[in-house]
Amino acid sequence: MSRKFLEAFTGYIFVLPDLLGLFLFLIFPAFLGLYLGFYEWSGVGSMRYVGLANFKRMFSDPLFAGSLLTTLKLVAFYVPINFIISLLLALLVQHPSKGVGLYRTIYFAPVAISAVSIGLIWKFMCQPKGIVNALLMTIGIQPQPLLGSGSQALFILLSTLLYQSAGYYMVIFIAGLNDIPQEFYEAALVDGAAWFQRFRYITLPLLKPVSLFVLVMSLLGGFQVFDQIQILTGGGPYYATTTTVFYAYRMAFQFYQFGYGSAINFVVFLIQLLLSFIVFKIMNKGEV
Amino acid sequence: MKKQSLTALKYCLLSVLAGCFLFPLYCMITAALKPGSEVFKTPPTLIPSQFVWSNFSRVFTIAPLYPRWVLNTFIVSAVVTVVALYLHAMAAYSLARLRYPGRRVIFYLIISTLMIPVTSVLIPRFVIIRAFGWVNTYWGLIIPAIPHAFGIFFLHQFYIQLPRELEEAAIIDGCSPAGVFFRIVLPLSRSEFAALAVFFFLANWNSYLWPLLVVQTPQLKTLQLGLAGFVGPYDNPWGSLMAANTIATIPALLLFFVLQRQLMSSITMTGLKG
Repeated sequence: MSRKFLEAFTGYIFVLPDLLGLFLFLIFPAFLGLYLGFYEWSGVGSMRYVGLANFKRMFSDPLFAGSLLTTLKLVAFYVPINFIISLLLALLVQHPSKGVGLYRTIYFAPVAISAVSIGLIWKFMCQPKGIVNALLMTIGIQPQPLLGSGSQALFILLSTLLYQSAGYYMVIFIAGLNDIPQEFYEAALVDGAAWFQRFRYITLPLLKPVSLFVLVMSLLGGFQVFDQIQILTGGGPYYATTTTVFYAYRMAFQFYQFGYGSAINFVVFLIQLLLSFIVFKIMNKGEV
Repeated sequence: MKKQSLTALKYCLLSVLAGCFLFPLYCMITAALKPGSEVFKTPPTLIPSQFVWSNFSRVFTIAPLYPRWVLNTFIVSAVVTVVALYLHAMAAYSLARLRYPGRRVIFYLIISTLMIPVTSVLIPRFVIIRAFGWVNTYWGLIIPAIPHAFGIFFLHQFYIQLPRELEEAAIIDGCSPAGVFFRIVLPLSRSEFAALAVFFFLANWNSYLWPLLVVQTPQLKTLQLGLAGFVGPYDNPWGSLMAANTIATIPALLLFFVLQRQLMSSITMTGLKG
């Protein structure tokens, strides 16, 4: 057996298990999902071909439209707020100095905690007589319905996402900030540039690739929220926190409409791709 | 002088933010330690008037399967982590170093799967594992959690920048390609393995959505499922729930504190070279 043949043989054997796994549990399901979208199927028994009916149904389904709007609202708040908070945290703890390491650890720690645990803590704090209302009362604000109100529930959901992801994106920003050559800042200092000018004309432009990554990743992350919704609100009150992913899940696994659920997931997948592409385009054009 | 006050301001801000981050965890732990009558008292007590440990012991009488759930989660997380590390390392090494027809195509195919979010393929993926008869089995929990392009990509970036000299020396000594990988390259990957291991382990320890679909009996539940379905006793439901929550969170936080540097490096790699 020649060395070349042995190398090729080993190469295929080594890559095969993972390739097979990815094919079976990601690539093939992506196509199977599109296929299922053309059928009416309760998940068991026979499937009935219905053409584009599932896709047409989305346009006339107010609950789907509502879930899409909820998702877009959530993402529209989540992406920029997450960007600002994580960049702020990164700027604060970027340079290692006394005690800063401890703060960094504290901001980063929620990454290790499950979404279920955080959802349960928030649910506990937002009980009618819970700590949030108690704190509001001490500063003279009437107790709020919190999880009982649609708009408040959405913001509570948003805060759980921020709590978990700020430290994660902070770490990415820190790495990006540390990659900016120190000479730029030194030159700017010689020229007498103020802090904000240095931030505006050195940090932000040189941070652009990292910023793009953070924006796209958090956009996709915002679309995929599930655990927190299930724990915190169950999609309520009155569908106020039902996102598209949550709606598709309920369609399939609670109402046994596997075809319609798959169709929704496929369309939402395309919307995600489109939005990431738009973010990418804007960032590459704009000056930020 | 101006600089001093600026530094003071910075530390103030850092501390306020740290308070915001710690407050929910503080609420969880104190609720687990408070007597039932005090959990929803107004004004709230910041420090429990007396420390009650019974909430913790009651977790195990309310949910006698709790240790089983911890064990299930540990088994699933550990097996996924170990198997994934080896498979990803093999795939990454193959794609980075070994030459064969179709390698580039396979590489781009694998990387392109990073764009497919798991939530988008949830329904067909469930249909597939059901066809395999894996619903309500360890197989169903473990096997689909293993393949992940991120791990392959991460190790691939490491292997392409590894100096070739060591491998070449081994090849001259008559070592086979597989031998080079297992004897030379794997031992060099230790710190990258640590970074990925903590990432995989935490992801699986905290996983909820996929087990929610796969598991159907209480005996097979994972910790997050058990926690989500936990109903406390009528006299102090939240105290016991927060105690259960504390028990579930502590292993993850401990792992985090020990290996946070490694976790940071794995996140950084994906963020910058991604």
